[in-house]
Amino acid sequence: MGKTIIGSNGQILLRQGVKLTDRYIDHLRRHWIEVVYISTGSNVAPQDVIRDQTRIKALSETRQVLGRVKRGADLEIEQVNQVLVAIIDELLLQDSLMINLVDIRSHDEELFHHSVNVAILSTIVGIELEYSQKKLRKLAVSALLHDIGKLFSEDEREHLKLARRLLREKSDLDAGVVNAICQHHEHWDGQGYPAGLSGSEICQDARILQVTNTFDNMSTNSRYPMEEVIEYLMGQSGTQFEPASVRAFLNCVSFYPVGTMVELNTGERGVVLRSNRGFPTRPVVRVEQNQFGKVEPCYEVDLAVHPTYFVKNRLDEVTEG
Amino acid sequence: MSIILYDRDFISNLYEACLQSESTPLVALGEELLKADDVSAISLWSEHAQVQGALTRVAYQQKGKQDQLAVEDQKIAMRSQESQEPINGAVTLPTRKAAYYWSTPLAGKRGDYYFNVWCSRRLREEEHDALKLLAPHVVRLADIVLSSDIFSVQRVNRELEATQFIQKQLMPQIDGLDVGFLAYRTLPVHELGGDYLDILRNPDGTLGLTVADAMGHGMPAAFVMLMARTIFRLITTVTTTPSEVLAELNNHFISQLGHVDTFVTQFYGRFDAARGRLTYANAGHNPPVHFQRKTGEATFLPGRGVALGGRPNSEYTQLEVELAQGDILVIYSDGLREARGADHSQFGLEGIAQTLLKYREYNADGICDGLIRNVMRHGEGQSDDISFIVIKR
Repeated sequence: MGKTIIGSNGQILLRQGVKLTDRYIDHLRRHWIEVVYISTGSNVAPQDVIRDQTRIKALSETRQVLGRVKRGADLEIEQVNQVLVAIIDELLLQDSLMINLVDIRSHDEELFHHSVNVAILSTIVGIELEYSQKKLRKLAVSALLHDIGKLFSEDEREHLKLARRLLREKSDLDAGVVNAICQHHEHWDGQGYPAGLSGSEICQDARILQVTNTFDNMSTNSRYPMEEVIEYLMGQSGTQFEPASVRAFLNCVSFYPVGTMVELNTGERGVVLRSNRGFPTRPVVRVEQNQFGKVEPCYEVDLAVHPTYFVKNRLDEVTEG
Repeated sequence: MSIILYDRDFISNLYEACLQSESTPLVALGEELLKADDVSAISLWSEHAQVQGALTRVAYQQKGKQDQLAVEDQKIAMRSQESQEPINGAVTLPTRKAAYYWSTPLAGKRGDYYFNVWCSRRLREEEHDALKLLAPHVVRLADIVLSSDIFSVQRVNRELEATQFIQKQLMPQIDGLDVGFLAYRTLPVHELGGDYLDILRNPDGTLGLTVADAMGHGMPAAFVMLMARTIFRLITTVTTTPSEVLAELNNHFISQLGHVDTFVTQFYGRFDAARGRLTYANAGHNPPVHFQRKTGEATFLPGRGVALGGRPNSEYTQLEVELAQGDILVIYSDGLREARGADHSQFGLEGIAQTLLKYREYNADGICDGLIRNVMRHGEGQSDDISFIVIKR
């Protein structure tokens, strides 16, 4: 296993480094886990942007809070805040923040994983846009609760209406947060819903949510390879998405996530070791093979520093099984 | 042996011993050098045959397990390449220990080598001298090793070896041309490419941009290309007016190569970066693609004259295009547009336009990377040389 798998209640299903046997595969299937990272000896584990403990805690708390809302209780905003402060603090401490979500989720608990992920992603974009702590907190709350309406309806339009009613009746969230939640399906060019708002009529946090929510929906369970998701965001910039939000997002994301196998134009092959901020197509590659054969020990090429090198091809897709 | 302090006799004996060794000569050499107590690693890097500025590690040996040293080793080789003279100094490893290096560029038969020696203490002056004595032997051993059959992967065929200089000549010489709005990529499929891409700085401050494509592949195409390049470079010292450059080029080409049944297509433009204005003429080459930020649409630049070598005294229409802020221009060779997918469909204008639309927020370099990524994903392996220049205003 290239990465520890966390179950729906935040329990650890399988630890990183464990050899994957048939028995374990059955065990994972029972938990609806479909995609896993297999370590191929390269020893470059995809590194989550937040610590495992923080993610596990965020997941289980989100589950509790939303669970109680579903059963008719009021939204306990204090508990939500605690979860988010932990995430924001951890992200603010990193000096070179890159989006690298190691995200293996189970189908039955999709909503909680998605909510936590969108909260993390939105916070990263907020930091990139130099949001104050206070603004970050609001953005993160909107992100974590953006799909709260889905507790009661899977319908794309209905859940927005339900969210507004619910938040008005069962919480004292400020109007900005409620607006962001209810506008996260509005498009920059006015082609979204429910109100068909466009440009600056949509609040800034909702414009960010539009990007991060789409990103997470598309990258869930490696439905699309990272580059395709990013290309989609770039392609829809100015129509579906606000260009400034996309640009901020792109600064923190890499085409080739850590652990991706790539071939360079020099014929050297290796694994992506680190991403370079602001250079989404130019990571640091640990060369494991060159024209003269296997390279042992490996050397590294930083594509951001060496302009004549470039990635020619991506060699692996995420192993499915 | 406690220090590396070799005399002439010792070194020539060492050389003979390495040649006769059962393992490959470079491995034998490394083993010998590592016998010295304070030497911790040695490595040899060679210039990449096709990618300008790139180095590939030919050999590396070290004592014990310290992976970080191999990472530092790459940086030192690159630095040695930059300075083009022997360098020495120290780096601090994660273990907080210092590692001392000495590195020198060496001229080999197939390009430059970079020879690094790592030591656990500072090397003395006389040891630098001893290593300089050793250096020519390292070059000879490396040349032998690289021309042996086990390394046939990168090796250019023996017949081609003598003409490898052409390869280097065909590469754009835009050293020190640090312009953010422009980037280029070349991805040859053969040892010798039939594409020619060049970027020249004109005396009036404008940039001369050209992409040309010779009929055919391999050696014949490369020879024709070299000639066309030489004439082109000469003509542009006299005039940089696109219509004149191509007309002159065509006439020279016919007088030199009239009896050879071949032709070259070439695009040449003069770009005024301050105004964003490109004045250009086209000799039968693929029309460049102009992406307009305002409309999000990509179109071909109009105008396409006769290929060079086609007809004497051909005239070339000179046209002008203005790039608005955010506009993108791609000048490219056949390989980009004609890359075939699994279903035999061409990458085409469609593929280029789609990529530009998606990558329009990026700078020229990012757009280049995006084009490579998309053409590789479209194609079933690369079958033709791919070269292109991207300008983003």
